[in-house]
Formats: sequence, C-alpha cells, structure tokens
Amino acid sequence: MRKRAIILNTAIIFGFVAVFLRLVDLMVLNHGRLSERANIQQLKQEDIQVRRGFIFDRRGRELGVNLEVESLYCNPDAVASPQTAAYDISRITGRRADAILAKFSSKGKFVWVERKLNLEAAERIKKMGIKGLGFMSDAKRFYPKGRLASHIIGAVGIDNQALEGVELKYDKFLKTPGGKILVTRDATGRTLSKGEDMESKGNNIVLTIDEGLQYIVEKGLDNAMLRWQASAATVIMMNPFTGEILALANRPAYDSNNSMNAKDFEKRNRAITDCYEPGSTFKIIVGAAVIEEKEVNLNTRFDCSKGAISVGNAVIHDEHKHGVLTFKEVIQKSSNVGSAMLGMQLGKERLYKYAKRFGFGEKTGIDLPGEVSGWIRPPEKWSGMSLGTIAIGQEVAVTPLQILRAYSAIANGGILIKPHVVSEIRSPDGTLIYSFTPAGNKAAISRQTADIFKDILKTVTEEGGTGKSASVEGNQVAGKTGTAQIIDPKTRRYSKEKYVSSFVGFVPADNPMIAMIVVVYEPRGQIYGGVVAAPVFKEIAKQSLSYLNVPREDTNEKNVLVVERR
Amino acid sequence: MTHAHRHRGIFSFVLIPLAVALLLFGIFSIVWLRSSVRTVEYSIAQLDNKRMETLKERKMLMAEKASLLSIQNVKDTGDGKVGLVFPDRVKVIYVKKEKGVTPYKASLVGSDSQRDGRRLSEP
Repeated sequence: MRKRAIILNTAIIFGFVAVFLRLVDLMVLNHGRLSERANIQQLKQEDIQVRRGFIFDRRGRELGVNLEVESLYCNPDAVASPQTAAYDISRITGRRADAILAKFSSKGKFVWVERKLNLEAAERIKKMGIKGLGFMSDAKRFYPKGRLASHIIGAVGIDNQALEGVELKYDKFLKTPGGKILVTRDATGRTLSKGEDMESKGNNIVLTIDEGLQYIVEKGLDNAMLRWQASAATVIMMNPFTGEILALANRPAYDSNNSMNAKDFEKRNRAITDCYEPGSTFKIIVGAAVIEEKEVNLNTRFDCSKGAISVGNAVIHDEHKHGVLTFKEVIQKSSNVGSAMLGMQLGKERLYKYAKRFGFGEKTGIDLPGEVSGWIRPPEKWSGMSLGTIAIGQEVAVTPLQILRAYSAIANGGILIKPHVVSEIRSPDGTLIYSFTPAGNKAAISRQTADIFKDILKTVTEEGGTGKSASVEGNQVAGKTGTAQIIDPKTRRYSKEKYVSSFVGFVPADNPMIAMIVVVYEPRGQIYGGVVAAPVFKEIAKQSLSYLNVPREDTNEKNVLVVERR
Repeated sequence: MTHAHRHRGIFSFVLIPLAVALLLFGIFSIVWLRSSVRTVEYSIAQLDNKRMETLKERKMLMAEKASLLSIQNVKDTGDGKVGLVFPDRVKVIYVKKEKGVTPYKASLVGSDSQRDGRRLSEP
C-alpha cells in the first residue's frame, strides 16, 4: 500500500515537474520567438482610411465631398471560373465581360478589377461569393454641384490625386498622410476593437465664391454662348475692395465628376491662363495716367474730326468720325484717335509705368494654378507706332483677371488688390488654420484720380456711351467696353472676322458691391463689346444685385412695403 | 502536544480549503474577466463596424442632400413644379429689424415724405 503511494506521489511530482519545465520552456527560454509568432498570427496591420477635406462655398454649402465606395480586386490564380465570374460582374458594373476576363488573365497576385464601385453594386457582387475576389474600402471625390465652378474647384484623379484648381493648389492642406494601425484578431480572423478612429481626414477649405452668384454667372454665360455662337467666354465677378472672387466661370467647361473624359480645352481656366489683346478696356491706363499726371482736365479738347491719326508708320482709325471731343468724351465714346493722342502726350516711359502700376505684365497672385503674367514690352523695345497702339490696347497681352483687377482699383479708390479664391482653411474639428489676410496691396493711382475716372466710366453706360446696354435699372453702372481683333495664326495679321468682345465694370458705381468682366471670344453676327458683352453684364449684374439684396437707388419710387417694429 | 495537534487540525481543516478556494476563485475570476473583456471587445468591434457603416450612409446622404439643394436644382424645381419666378427688383420688400420683442407692423408707404423705406424704418 505504502509502495503504491510512493509510486503515485513520484508520478505526480514528475508530472508537475514536466509541466513546470514545459512552462519554463514556453515562458522563459522560447518566450521571444513564440510571442513573435503569436503576434504575427494575432496582429494585423490595417491602413487608416485617408479622406480629403471638404470644399465649401462662402456660405458653407458643400462643393466637394467624399463618397464611400469599394474597389474590387482579384487574385487571378484563385478565381475559380473566370468566364462565369466575368459575365456576372459585367452585368452589375456595366463593364464589358471580355475586359473583366482580361483582368482575370493578368499576371500577379493582385489586380484591380473595378475601382470605386458604389456600395450597392459592391454588396451584390459580395453576395455572389466568387472566390478569388476581394474588396477594399475607398473614397470617391464627389462634386454635388457638377459642372458649377469646375474651373475653381478643379478635380482629382482615380487615386484621389489632385489634378486641377483648388484641389491642386491646396492639395497639401486637403490631403492627409494617413498611416497604418495594428489590430488584434482571433483565430477565426475576426478583428477586435481598434480603440482608435480608422479614418484620417484632411482640412476643410472655405472658398470666397458664392454658389448663388456662381449659378447666375454660369447661366448668363451659357445664354451668351448660345446667343453669339462664340468659341469661348469668361466671366469673373469680384469684390473690388477685398479681392474675393465671388464667381468665376469659363466656357467651354467640364464636369469635375467626370474630369477624366474632359478635353484639354474644356479644362482651361481662360480667366487666368489665356491672354488676349484687351482693346478699349485698356484705355483706362492712359486715361488714369493723364489725370494723375495732371496732363489734362475733364474738358480738355481733342480734335478727332479726321477719324484717323498717324502714329509712327501706322494709322489708327476710329470706327466713325467723332469731331472734337473732350477728354471725358474720348473715354465715353471710346475714341481710338483721342486715346492715341493721350498716349503721345503722356510718352513711352509714363505709359509703361502706369501699365505696370496697374499690374500688367505680372501675375495677380491669385491662388489658382496655371496663372500667366500677360505681356507688355519695356519701352526701349517699342516700335514707332507702339505708343499709339498700346494706348488703345493693342501690342499688349492681358488676362481677364488682370483687367478686372485694374478696374477694381478704380472702384475702390486706387488700390491694386490681390484676388483670391480661398478665404479660410479649417481642421476637421473646426480649428482655424489659415485665414486670408490682405498683404502687399499697393496704390496704383490716387483716390482723387480714381474718383474722377469713376465718374467718367459712369458716362460710358449712359446715353451716348458705348456701354449703354450694360446699364442696370435702379443702380448706376461704371464700366468700359472693349472690342479687339484676334491675330490670325496663319497670316500673322489681325483677322477681319475674329474678335474678342468684352465689358468690364462695377455696380453700384458709387458704392460698388461687385466688379465684373465679361469676355466673349469670337462672337458671330456682332463684334462690339457694347452689343455682345454689355448685355451679358447687365443680365448677370441685375440678378446678382437682387440676390445680394442690394437696394435700388430709386426704391423710393413706387410701392415699397416697409415693415417696422413699434 | 494535544493542544498543538488541535491547532494544526483547525488549520488544515479550514485554512487550506479556504486558500485553495480563494486560489481557484482568483483564477476563475481572472479567466472570467479576460473572457468578459474579450466579449466586450468583440461587441465594440461590431459597434465600430456598425458606426462605420452608418457614417458611410451619412456621407452618401449628405452628398445627396448637397446635390438636391444645389441652386440649379432648387430653381429647376421652383420654375417647373411650383411656378416660382425670380423676383422683380421693383417689388422687393426691404425689412429692417430693430431690437426688441414687439411684433412687426406692416404698412404700405404712400406719401412722398415716407417713400424711402430705409429712412422710415429707422427709429
């Protein structure tokens, strides 16, 4: 009995010793190696989902957001019956079955089958249970307003890489680095709570543009394109005091949601990337300069009765003979002869100096990609006729935005402001990261000169002025028409058929809320800025003033309902 | 000696089983706690997934709302279905809000001296 007890005790002790030794082996001797193997089995590295920041208009309306989608990939070797699978997937995605089959025949272990599937389609494919397929969470940039403001907002590519517009210019703020996170999973592959947010979002951008004004502008632009069968057109609307771009649109345009299929000429932001000879809208340079230099007063008279003037070896003509004009009338009637006389009175150096003061030949510094500086030669390279031709807006190349900025200087009392489209950048939790602050604004001309010239520009839209059809009922418009010939690339001479018609101005003239330029390229049927562009200005300005609740200056005329508190 | 034996007897009869019970209870408590934590982690993971799904749906709805509220869409609906028109600026009503809780009083301005709406609404 005692012997058996000893054997039993010994066996138990040996058993415990064996267990103890095994524990020492597992927990001490091989601890490092085994815990590493356990980690490999239990821990899984997952990507933090990276999402771009949103883009809003100035009133907080969404212009660029993200949609949650799924991308379908495959391991071609693991797909059991490729032909059936390709056919089934093609029924859901709409892609050709042979294209999907080609993916299944690709080499490698990872091949994208379909990117950015909507969740419903992804769910239907998942339910098919096709072996060898996998899904990856993805984000698709979505622009809820479609084509609206596409030249400002821009677009992204299939991998959400920035391609155009604000998306490109502010990419470093909109995107986020993301990263990876370790998650624990059990033997069946189920993951446990990560305890951390699996999404990292970039900063949100608030633009200066207003969706309402942008819509009014784009509608006006579409009507102009239809009416004049033009090859292209541009409208920019800006706050002349702050430089905030309220609306900017070009035609042709594209839908940011479908930028991959857009053509290059549709993507061009003509407002800042295309130069043209401004024609008469450039006459404010010579006009403002002669006032600033006290070369003339409003009643100084110029004999334009011959309807032509020789400058160097060129002859500059008026459209029709005007007779003797005062300085004011030279601008009001847009006389080329009178303007050439002003240019000659001013001289090369001073004309060039004022062109530079108004920012021509330099980028405006707008925060959009692709801006060009325009072109004006230094006086030493001018030919004998340059003084006359530059005074009437030839031999210079400008962008629509440069012209608008120059007119904004007249509207705001002489200050050359910096145009911009982004007003602030905020982190996802709302913290302010960046806010636009005006810096480096320079005075182009004195306030007195600006006020005098503003009064002259008002007469352009009055009876007898070239821009009468830009006048808005109830509010005075100050502005200038422009009609310029386009150089034919074949003949290298001014075309007799192709013109650029423009109107630039601000309204209400004495307390401007908006400054706006309308440029119509190659209109058919009519060519004059006062006929082609000025009515577009009028239509857009009228609706915009209504939208902005700017009262008519003659509201005391009839039927005003006043509501007041007692 | 008899006294000492009695003490040892009490020790082995009460304390040892108690210690074993405590040990077992401790072990089971630890196991139970760990298993509960694991269960909670599974639940949280499930809720996390649900949250992600809900967030995805929210994003879709937000995008749809933004599309539906686009001015073009509102205008198309207003023009077509409801028959709204863009206001004529002549018929725009200007309302000046004053501080205070008294109700508004509306009146049509008729006389020449009371034409300017903005001036009238000033105190």
